Amino acid sequence: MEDSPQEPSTAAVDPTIDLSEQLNIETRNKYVKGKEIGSGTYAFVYKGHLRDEPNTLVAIKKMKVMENYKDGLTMDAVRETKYLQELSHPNIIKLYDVFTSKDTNMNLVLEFLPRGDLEQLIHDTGNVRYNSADTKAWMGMVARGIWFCHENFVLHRDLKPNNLLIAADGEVKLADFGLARSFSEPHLAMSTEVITRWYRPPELFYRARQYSGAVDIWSVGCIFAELILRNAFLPGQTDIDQVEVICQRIGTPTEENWPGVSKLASYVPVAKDKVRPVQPKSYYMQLFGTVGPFGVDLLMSMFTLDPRKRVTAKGILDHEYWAKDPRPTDKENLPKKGGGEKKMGEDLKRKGGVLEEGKADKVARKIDFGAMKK
Amino acid sequence: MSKQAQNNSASARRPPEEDEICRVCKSSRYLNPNMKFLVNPECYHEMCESCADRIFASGPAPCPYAGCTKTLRRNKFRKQTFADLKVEREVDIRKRVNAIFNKREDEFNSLRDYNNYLNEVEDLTFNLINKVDIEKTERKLLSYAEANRRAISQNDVRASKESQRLAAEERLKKEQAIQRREAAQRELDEERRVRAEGKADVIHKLASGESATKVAKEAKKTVLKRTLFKQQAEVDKQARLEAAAAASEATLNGDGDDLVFAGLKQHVEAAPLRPYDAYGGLAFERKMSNLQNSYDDGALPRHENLYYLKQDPRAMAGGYNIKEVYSQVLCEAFAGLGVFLSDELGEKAGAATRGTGTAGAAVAAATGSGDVQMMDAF
Ligand SMILES: Nc1ncnc2c1ncn2[C@@H]1O[C@H](COP(=O)(O)OP(=O)(O)O)[C@@H](O)[C@H]1O
Ligand SMILES: [Zn+2]
Ligand SMILES: [Zn+2]
Repeated sequence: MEDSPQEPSTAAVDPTIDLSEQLNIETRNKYVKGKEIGSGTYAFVYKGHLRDEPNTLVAIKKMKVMENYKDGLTMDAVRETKYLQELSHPNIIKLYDVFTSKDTNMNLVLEFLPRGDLEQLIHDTGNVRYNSADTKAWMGMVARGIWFCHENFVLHRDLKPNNLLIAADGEVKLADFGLARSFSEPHLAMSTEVITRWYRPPELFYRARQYSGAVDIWSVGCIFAELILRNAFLPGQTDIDQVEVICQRIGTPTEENWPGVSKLASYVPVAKDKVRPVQPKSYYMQLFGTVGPFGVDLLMSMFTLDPRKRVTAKGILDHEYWAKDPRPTDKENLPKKGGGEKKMGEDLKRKGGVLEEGKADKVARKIDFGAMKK
Repeated sequence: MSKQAQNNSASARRPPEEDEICRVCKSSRYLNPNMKFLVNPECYHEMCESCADRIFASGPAPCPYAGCTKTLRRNKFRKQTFADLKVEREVDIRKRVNAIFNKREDEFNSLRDYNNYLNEVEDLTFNLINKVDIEKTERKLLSYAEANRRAISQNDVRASKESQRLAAEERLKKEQAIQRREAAQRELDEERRVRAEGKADVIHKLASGESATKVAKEAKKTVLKRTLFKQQAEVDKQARLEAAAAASEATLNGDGDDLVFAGLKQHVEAAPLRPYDAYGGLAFERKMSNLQNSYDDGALPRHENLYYLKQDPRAMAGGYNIKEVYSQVLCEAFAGLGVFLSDELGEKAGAATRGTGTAGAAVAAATGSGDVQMMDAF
């Protein structure tokens, strides 16, 4: 009986509570909170639905209150709210409502995205197969989402595969705006400790205090590369190692390829003989050739060291890559993630344990003969 | 498959009405909401926790199920993971086999060798699951385990090291996520401090102070327009409706001799595949042709002056884009002048413009770009 009866919304207005609290209660009562579907560092996420329309599902993200970070965490939710409510686009998670629960926890009512995230698809190499048309479709959705953010002067600052959630219809949506901010005003220094390390661009490691949408574009490049390789492309162990990995796989930033870089606060000059040249197209073709020469061109333009020369979100959408073959897969036909435990149980039930179905069937389950042809 | 057969194959699963009753003591979850069911992997006969406690309190005892000859111990009882006990058993068997046959692909010369090994292991597993040649299979398993004890435990150590490393990485990731959040918070605090110190921001100064007139004049001259094209789907739909209407008109106007049947499905030619639109049917065009590379904001104090900022290589090398600032200023100035883009574009498009707020988002979701199909989730 935890679902208390609906509080009267219009008839009897309790005079002891003020208008904003009244509104809050009304908002809260619009939704029914269901079972927990996940929990992250900062929040518990519940499945829910509209009280009046049980078919309209939502995700309710209840921010955790941790004593020491209380202020910071509330801020987190505030950021998320602030930017999400300004951005309405098919490739950005929708924020429907915000309310506080009795224990003063902040609750965000978000679009329900039941098909997991891109990270799950990328790394489930055993169950999920996809091709370059699928990669192109996913990249198109990511690029549209970030283009719309930038067009509205918002930096995401935490793009990575597990912040790209997938809707029931296959649409990929940018989520987790907890680190987002609007484009800076010129004299305000911006934090360089944003973006998860593997997806963070060189200018942030050099502590450039003024930066632009180019930081997100680097992350998009890392995501593109990871979709193709099915492994992180720039997996540094520490911040220092990360810079080393960037130098190795992309090239060493120098005054020649990035004028002014040596003036950045944390730039460490590199001895002439240690400078690694910017990798040529042939190198990228070897690693990423499956997306074709135009895909490779696009990827390289996202990995341009000098952020001023890096491709912009609009530049990505205007790229020739999209018009070339293959045509991006329609979102309805994109591969879906394996169903986890439940699916595994069903699989076993269907295939296993029944002798009559014969041996061939059981062997095929374990061994992928397709892989042997290679 | 007939209904009968289906029932047989699912016999290990309790029928739903019995789901809530312990078959040993007959007490039901209805009377005791905290009741937990446990199974023992010896025979997978289910019973409630208090039965397991009671019957096996003084050591191993026979399973209370009639006809079951297994001897069970309390410490082997556990909650079942899968609803279907057959699946539960198969997963247990696979776990046991995999703990013994834990060789890795890299220990084999070729993929073919590895696959042959997997094939062999799968045969053993299959026999255990289906109770075929049980004794012989068990013997094979045990003798293999004995003969390869060292290799097995080495691989076991290797696996647990890997999982420890993964766990450590996971912890580190969490810590770093917290650090990023804290950094963002510090950034905001710093921003507040700077503002409090009276260094008001350029955008507001430009938009409200004397420079606002300048900006406004500029804005009028500038062709600053966001054009939002309708969703392609809408266009598509319209085209199809028109085609259908035209088609039915043609039928009605046909010669009198032709037979015309009512109620036939309209045959609509499949529309040719539209070229892929990278913008997804939305195009925002902010024509900034008149946007200058620099504005005379000389009235502002030095630290806020974009002109000086532009001379500072440190600021520019980070990729900071002055044009973006002008663009933002002009855009917000426009909003300030009461030029609401949504008026220009019609209500529907309004959801895509700035500052429509949560209500806007909800409306957008309801009127729908067609992507809000939450109903068919699962
Ligand atoms: N909008 C949503 N719809 C469905 N599931 C979601 C949604 N948002 C988050 N989740 C689920 O909740 C989990 C935790 O989310 P979040 O707090 O954002 O975690 P993280 O710290 O991993 O980013 C996710 O892994 C995901 O499974
Ligand atoms: Zn019992
Ligand atoms: Zn038994």
